Amino acid sequence: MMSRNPHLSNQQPDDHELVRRYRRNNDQDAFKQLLERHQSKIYSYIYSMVGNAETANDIFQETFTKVITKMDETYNEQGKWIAWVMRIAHNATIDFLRKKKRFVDVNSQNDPDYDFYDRLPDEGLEDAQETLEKGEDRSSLMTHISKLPKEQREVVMLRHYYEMSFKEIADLTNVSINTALGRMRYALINLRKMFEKEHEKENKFAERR
Amino acid sequence: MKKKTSLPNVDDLSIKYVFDDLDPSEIMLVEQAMSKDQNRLIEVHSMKSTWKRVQKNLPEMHPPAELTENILENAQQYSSKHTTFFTSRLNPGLFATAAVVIFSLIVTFAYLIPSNSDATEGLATGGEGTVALENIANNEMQPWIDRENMMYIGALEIHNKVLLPDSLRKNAIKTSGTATPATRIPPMMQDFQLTGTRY
Repeated sequence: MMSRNPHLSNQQPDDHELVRRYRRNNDQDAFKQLLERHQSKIYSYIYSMVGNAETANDIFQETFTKVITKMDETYNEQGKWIAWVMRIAHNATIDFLRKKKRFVDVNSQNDPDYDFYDRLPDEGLEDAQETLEKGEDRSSLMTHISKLPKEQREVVMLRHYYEMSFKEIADLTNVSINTALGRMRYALINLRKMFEKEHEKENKFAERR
Repeated sequence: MKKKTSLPNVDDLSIKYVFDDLDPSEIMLVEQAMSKDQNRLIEVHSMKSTWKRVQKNLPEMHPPAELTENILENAQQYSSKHTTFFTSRLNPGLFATAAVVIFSLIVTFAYLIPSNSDATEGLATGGEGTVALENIANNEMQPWIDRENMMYIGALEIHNKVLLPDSLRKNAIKTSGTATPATRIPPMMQDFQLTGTRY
């Protein structure tokens, strides 16, 4: 799988260097660069798991409060900084979901605060129709993913947003690698079924017209 | 009795195949399984297309700007509270204190360690030989040589007595011992060493 890191160029310092500058020299600009580099992925993961903007904001804030206050105590510079932050975000998200003890349905009818388009980046697309269709695809995908069991949703999000290997996913979620692979397999099978069902509905709707 | 062989789980390998997580031997295994089982072939390809659709349509979302600003402010405040005098490298007081301490140490050592570079000063504080040479410089005593070619300065016997060659011996006898400043060493004394001090 190709690693995506559009924020890092040859001239920009890597995460290790920025963390070192922040910890040893109290370099606030270094911390800002780290935040800007990784905030989207972390926020996207949290939002996709909880499906609510306000809750996602709270968990995101909680995550970085822990990052700031616990970095000296619990972060080992031998490991990747972003992996450490992801673990904090993941644990905070799971704690929230456990408290809720239900699947969160990302549905604009149930959640008045939910407006999917508010969070989409401005891509500058000229074709409004294309924008609309793309937005609809995203919206339906998010709806489908929200219907997956929490464990399957978790594996999909961790693989997509954090680009984790199955071994890393297994370690983070405290399961065997076979279990992590199985969850992904069932997640993809379930998503395929939902897409097919949606496609059938669209075809029936089109036929009635 | 059939032997139980541990075969890799083809379902797990199929998922890894979707994500290109296999080594070449495992890829071959999955492709062989797919060629033998049409259902597996369809399942693997549908999982690949589903994952592509997920990757294409899952959005990258951004936190609100005010939330990011708030986090940065918290980081600034936390760092300010937890920065001490000794952890701040840019603390000017630390530099000033260090400079004063280092300077004091240098001055102290300069007074304590005796200097060996100036021969007369060193000699002036040394043992009998150094006293003898100082007296020579001050023209208080004249060197003389006994029958055994042993050199003496006044009544003092020089430490580490050295036998002078004849030419120097003659000069020693003839030398009238003109007054020389304390810093000058008599020429006859310049070529041999007394009390371990080298001129």
